Amino acid sequence: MRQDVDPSSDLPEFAAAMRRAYSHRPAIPSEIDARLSAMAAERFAAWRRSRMAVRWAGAVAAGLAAVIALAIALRPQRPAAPIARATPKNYDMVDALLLAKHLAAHDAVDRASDVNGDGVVDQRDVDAIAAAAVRLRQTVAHRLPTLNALGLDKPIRPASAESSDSAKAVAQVVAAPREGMR
Amino acid sequence: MNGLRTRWIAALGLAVFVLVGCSTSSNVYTASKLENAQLRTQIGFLQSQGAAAPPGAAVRSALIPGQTTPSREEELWVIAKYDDGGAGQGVATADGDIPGIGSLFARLSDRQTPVPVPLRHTDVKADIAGYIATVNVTQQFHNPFNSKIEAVYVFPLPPNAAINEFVMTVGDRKIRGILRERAEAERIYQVAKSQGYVASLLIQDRPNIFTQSVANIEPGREIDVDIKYFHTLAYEDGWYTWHFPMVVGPRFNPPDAGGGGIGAVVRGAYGASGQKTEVQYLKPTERSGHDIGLAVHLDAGVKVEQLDVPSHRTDTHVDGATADVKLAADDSLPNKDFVLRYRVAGDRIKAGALAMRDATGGYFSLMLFPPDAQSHLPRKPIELVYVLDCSGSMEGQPIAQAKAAIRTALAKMRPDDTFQIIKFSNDAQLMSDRPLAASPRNVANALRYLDQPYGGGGTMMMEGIRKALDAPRDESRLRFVCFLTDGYIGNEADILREIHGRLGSSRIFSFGVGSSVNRYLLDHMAKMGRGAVAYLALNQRPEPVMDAFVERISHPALTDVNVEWNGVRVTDVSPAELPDLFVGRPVILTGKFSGDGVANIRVKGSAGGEVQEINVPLNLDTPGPAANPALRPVWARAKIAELADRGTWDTAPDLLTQIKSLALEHGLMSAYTAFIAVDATRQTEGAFGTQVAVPVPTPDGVRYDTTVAPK
Amino acid sequence: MKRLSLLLPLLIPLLCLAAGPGDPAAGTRFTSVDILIDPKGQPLAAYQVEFTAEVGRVSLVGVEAGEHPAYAKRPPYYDPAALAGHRIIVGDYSLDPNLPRNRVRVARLMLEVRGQTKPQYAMKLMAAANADGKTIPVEMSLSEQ
Repeated sequence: MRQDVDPSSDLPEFAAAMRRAYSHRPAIPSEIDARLSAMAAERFAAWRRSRMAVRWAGAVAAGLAAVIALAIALRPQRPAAPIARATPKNYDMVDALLLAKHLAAHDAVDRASDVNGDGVVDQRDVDAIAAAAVRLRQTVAHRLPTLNALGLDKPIRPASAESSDSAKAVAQVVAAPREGMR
Repeated sequence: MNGLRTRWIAALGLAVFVLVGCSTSSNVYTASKLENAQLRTQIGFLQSQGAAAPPGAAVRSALIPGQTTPSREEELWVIAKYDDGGAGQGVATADGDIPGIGSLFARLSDRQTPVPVPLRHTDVKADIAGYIATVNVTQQFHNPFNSKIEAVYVFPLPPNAAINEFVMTVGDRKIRGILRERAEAERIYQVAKSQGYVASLLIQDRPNIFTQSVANIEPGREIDVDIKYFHTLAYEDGWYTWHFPMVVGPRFNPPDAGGGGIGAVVRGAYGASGQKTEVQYLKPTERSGHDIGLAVHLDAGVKVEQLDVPSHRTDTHVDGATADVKLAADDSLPNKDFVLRYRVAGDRIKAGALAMRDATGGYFSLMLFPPDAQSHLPRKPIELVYVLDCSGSMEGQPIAQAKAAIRTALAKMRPDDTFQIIKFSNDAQLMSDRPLAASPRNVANALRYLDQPYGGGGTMMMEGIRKALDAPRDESRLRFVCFLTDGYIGNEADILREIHGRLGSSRIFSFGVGSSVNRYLLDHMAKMGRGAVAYLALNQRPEPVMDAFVERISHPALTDVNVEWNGVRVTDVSPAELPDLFVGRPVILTGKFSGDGVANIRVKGSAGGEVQEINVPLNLDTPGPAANPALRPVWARAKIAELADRGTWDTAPDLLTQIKSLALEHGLMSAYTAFIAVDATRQTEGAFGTQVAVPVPTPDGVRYDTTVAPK
Repeated sequence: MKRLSLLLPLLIPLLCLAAGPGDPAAGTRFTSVDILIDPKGQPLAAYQVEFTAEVGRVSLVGVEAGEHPAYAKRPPYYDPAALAGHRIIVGDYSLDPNLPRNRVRVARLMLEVRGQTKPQYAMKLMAAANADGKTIPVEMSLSEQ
């Protein structure tokens, strides 16, 4: 039977009424209790797992975010304009200046600036551009006969027709261009 | 009538006197030319190519007299050098180009007199990358006297040095020198000197000897000259060698040198040797104070397994593939060559390519390294043709030595080898009409044949060459033609031309026997014949030399080498004919390329009767970090040397033009180009001053009293 | 007249001698020409100039660096194959923070002049830029010693 009690006005009596209402505590079979406890434990464990998962996910996300932020911060700057505006035949000294400036500032430079084709962009490329810039287009040397015209330009002998039966390929691939030299 | 006669006489007289008068004025000019020529001998002017050789002199190609001795370190394989146990030390050979010999360090003692000289200090900085060295040499000239001087310094550089930069520093002002045709540069220098301008001139006397002249150095003033050059390193038996020569050794000039040699005189004895170029030597009791600083940075590209400087005390740091070497301050007397050696070889054939591209095109270098040892290389049957000089000049010890060498080689041969013996003097005589198998019986017959008397007359080497190279060849064998001679002939150009025309697939090995052989001929025969040269002193045992020779030629790493340039167009490749790959000597090709993309270069050759292939991929878009900006001058230098060598037998008149053109286009010094720099902003006061040659110390271990001409 | 016709053959060789033996130094002098650039207040970071000797027999015998510290450390770039001095292109760049902004000598050409004809020179500006590589207007001039 339910008795309506106003808890705000009559607290001691409310408390007494609560005690009376819940004075009888039915017995709970142990197996039910155990099952309930197990269910509770499992629920708590799952909750704990999910909470750990959330925590880990949060950590991973935070890490990822940090990595992304770092990557964004450290990403290579947009490459400097390559000296491709000038073909090798019409470099000028400004091209040399620009490349030298980028190198001095340790900026990333486009591979097209590797004028001498040595795989790195460095002062040698600057010198190569500067030398090209001041190169005279017409010199006395160019008006002289070429080696080819004089028959002094001897081509490499074509590969001789070795017996294909005995041909044995010994591949010596140059694994590292630096082997033996730079 | 009398009037008409008088007019005719007057007209005739006029004609005669005009002719006489003009010749008189030209005689005056000739006289002043001679006077200048005497001055020019101090600074090594090259006489005109039309200069006639003295009677009886060995006639060489008029194109480049004495200028084209190949670099032993680069293009020529020297099996053996003189090793006479020290007995012959200090006596240089007739036209040997080996600068500086010695063993002991000359100590400065209290009894040494300091001598003021115009050269205060030489500073050398070398940067070695792979097998190419970039070297900067700074010579600091100064005037320790109280009047103006012209300093003249004769000094050596590596024979394959490609000099492409020259800067004169006056105070704090830097003036870059200009490369000109040699005669033009010399003229400019003389005129500038006579007018009182500070001027510098660098000329090449020999491929490895240069003369630096600096005019109008005022009292107390300093003039620096910076020279920059590139060169390739020598490679032998797994070791790279970087060599910086410091002093020109005293040379022996035979009586028929015609004044074109390098004279060795005491300090102050101008003109005492009668040679165009002279080196003045300090007495052992004198010390100039000129010292040298030297630093080397090495980046070998692969781990440096061993590094050694046998010539000097140094401060050395090796770190993986790099090393830094600095000359010790207490070993800075420039009286012996600096030698740095390092080891990187492995046990298999390696191949690699260097490339670079600039506004003038693409340049490459393809290098084949032989294996360290030949023990695993199959032995191949060989054909040895011994061509023995039996002329009068070989009588006595020389021919005995040559025969001993042949006996040693015969003993090393196997029954599946074949041999032939050709003697030549006034004509040529073959032992048999065809090559004989090296069976014990045939070898015994050969030994008896060697001892049979023959010759004693002239030296008709041409006949020997024809008989040796024209004989039918056994294609299953490599033919090696071994010339044993002192080379005392007068028609080198004809001999070399003949070899060029008849060589075919043979190889020539020249053995110089005697104390004063014709190295010019022997070196060129070996180079042209894609072989090697060896020098046997009279008291040297030939056995070790011949043993090594036969072992190496019978175990070639790769023969009949050819290259397929798949995907790339190449031109101007040097050398045009590829030599064989033997243990101890790499094969290096340089050339120009055009094109892009990937080139699949394939090197093919024979080894042990089977075809071997070595693939060398090269990305022409980005040839890789193996490039080197020195490739262009290195290629140009090699090309110039090849053309100059060709000039020994080819009399085409445009060769000289080609050499000059190449040298000028690539800004390289050569026998026909020179660097000149003039400070035209100020004329110094007074006459152009006294010429002072920079005296140098006698090379370490060389006897001054027996090698330097008395005053 | 008769005496004169007899004397003339004697005079001519004397005149030949007086004319000189063809001394190679005769009629040869050296001079230097400064190439000056006025960047009008802007910092001059790179320049490139073509120099031509239009009249006269002129030969290049040296190239000196500029006077401003930014261009004094090394001689300018030029083509080593510049032959006979009739035409040469010189140029240089500088990363020095202190760049010239007023008229300054950027290069000095050492010249050999042969013959009596007074040489005449011409210059053409090929490039002039500030530190950002932007073209700047400049004025060029020559100063012969």
